[in-house]
Amino acid sequence: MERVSISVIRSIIDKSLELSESIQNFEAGQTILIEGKANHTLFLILEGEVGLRKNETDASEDPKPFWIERLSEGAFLGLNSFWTRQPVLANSIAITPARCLAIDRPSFDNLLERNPEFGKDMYSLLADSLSSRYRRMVGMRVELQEMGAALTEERNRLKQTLDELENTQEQMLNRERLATLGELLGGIAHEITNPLASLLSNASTLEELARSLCEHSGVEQHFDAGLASRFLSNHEKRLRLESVSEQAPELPRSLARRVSLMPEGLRLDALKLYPNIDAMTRVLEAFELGTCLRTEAISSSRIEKLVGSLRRFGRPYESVNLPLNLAEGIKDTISILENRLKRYELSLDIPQSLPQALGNEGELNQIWTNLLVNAMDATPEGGKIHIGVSVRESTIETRIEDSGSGIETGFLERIFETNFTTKKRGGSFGLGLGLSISKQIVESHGGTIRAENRAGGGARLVVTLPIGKP
Amino acid sequence: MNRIYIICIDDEPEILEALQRDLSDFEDLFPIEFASSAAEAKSLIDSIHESGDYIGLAICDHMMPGQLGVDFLIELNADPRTAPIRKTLITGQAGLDATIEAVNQASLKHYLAKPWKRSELLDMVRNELAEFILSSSIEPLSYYALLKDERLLTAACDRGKIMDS
Repeated sequence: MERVSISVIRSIIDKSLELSESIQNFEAGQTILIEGKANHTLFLILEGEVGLRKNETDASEDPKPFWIERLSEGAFLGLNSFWTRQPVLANSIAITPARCLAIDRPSFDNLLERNPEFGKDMYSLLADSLSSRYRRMVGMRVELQEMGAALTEERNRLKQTLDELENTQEQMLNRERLATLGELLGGIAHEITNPLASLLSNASTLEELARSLCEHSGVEQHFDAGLASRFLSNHEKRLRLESVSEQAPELPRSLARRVSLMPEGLRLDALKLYPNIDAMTRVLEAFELGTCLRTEAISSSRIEKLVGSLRRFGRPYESVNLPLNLAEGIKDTISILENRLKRYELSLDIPQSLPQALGNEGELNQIWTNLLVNAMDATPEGGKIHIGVSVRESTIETRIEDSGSGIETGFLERIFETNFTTKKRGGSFGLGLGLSISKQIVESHGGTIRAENRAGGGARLVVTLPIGKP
Repeated sequence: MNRIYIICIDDEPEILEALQRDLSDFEDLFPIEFASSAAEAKSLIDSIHESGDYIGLAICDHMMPGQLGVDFLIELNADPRTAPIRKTLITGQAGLDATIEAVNQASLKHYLAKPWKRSELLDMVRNELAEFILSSSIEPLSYYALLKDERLLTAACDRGKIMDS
């Protein structure tokens, strides 16, 4: 507030009759000065309160007039417009009934001329008034600065919140995708399980029946040999075929091939039967019955394993605190990615027995999938991929390494950010949902994930998970 | 007489066994050989050519370790010695792009999806072998009985006419 001593004012008024007669009264709400108009009267508030109010500006969306200041006893009104002859800056409106001294320009000049004391007093009053207004301006400038800083902080907080929300949304979408996937996989696994059970049961019945028939025809030896036949490479098969063709050049090739697949003892016996094609066929068919059943058994077993992996892989979202078998999860993931993984040199270093971690199997399998797919994307075919698991004091550490192109040093932490990518999307059915998701999953299990570059080239992703309760 | 071979290339042994069983009726006239990779197939082709025999048909998987099937077939097509070999893909795993590439650049004539029907396979093989014979200078008559392709008969007659005159 302006510090104008009342005594000074009183003495000014007393000194001049004119001034005593220049007192104006205003009612509450009355406008004393109008914004934008010219003004040639200097007002000095003797009693009451006056507010300065700016008209609406176009700046904001919802323009409203706003109060700037409340002035009271001893303050000047119209100081700016009177002195500089510029239009009134803001409306002066009496808030309470007010009494003001009103000095118009002629009176002012008159008083100045005739009364040097008046001039001195006036200048001191004005100086006081201006100083006080200047102080106020500086104060407001400081306030403005602080508000600016507060706003920036607020904005940053909001941005952070927005990022977190986006992350959460992505996480939720991911959970839902995983749940859907889990249901799908579970459904498929279930559907396959029934015909598979029938297959397996039939297979064992077939074996019994076949053996019985072969016994009747005296060829059960050949049947059993077929069941027990071991895997032969193309090269071995070729060699055998050549050998039989040499031994029995009169044999048609197809027959020679069939004979060559049998073990040596039975082979020679069969050759001796030539040219009795019927007899040869009987033993050959018994043998082939055996090999067919053996292949059936192997194939069914493969399907069985795959179905098991599928079912475990997509386990729908459950609470985080279920004990899980890390080694099995990794192996299931490998089995599901096998078609692509077989193009690389895969090495495993997983201990036989691992302490149990607690967590959500489906989610962890997502991580292994993501990391393995990344490894394959970064490594040319024929390259090496290594998965190692080791037990530390209170954690299990899983490392997935590749011999690929490695990660730029500056990106080692950034690769876990949402939407950060240096490659086009791979097409692994959307299972590899990104390192940022992997990081979230790891962290929700109480673990950590980091990326490093290997000394010999390529990248290493390390996931640590706590043993026992997360 | 020089023999016409069929070669099957797939990294899964069960598939090769299944192909061998399905094609066993062809074996006496068209010997069949098997390879588990493009690399193995290449040395197989070399040794067959060295013995002075032909390769009439290559039945090839796509997803294999090492060289992919489509790339292998494109290579075969680019080499004049192996270009005449009829090429087919038998696979569950070639995407559209790879298949288009194979058709355009490898003269891929036929695509059989896994799992295949035996009858479809046999029809395909008969047709491809007939085409091979027809576009070569090989005497077609002896193959007619097995392949049952009328064009072989016609070609044999035409050859007869040419040789007579």
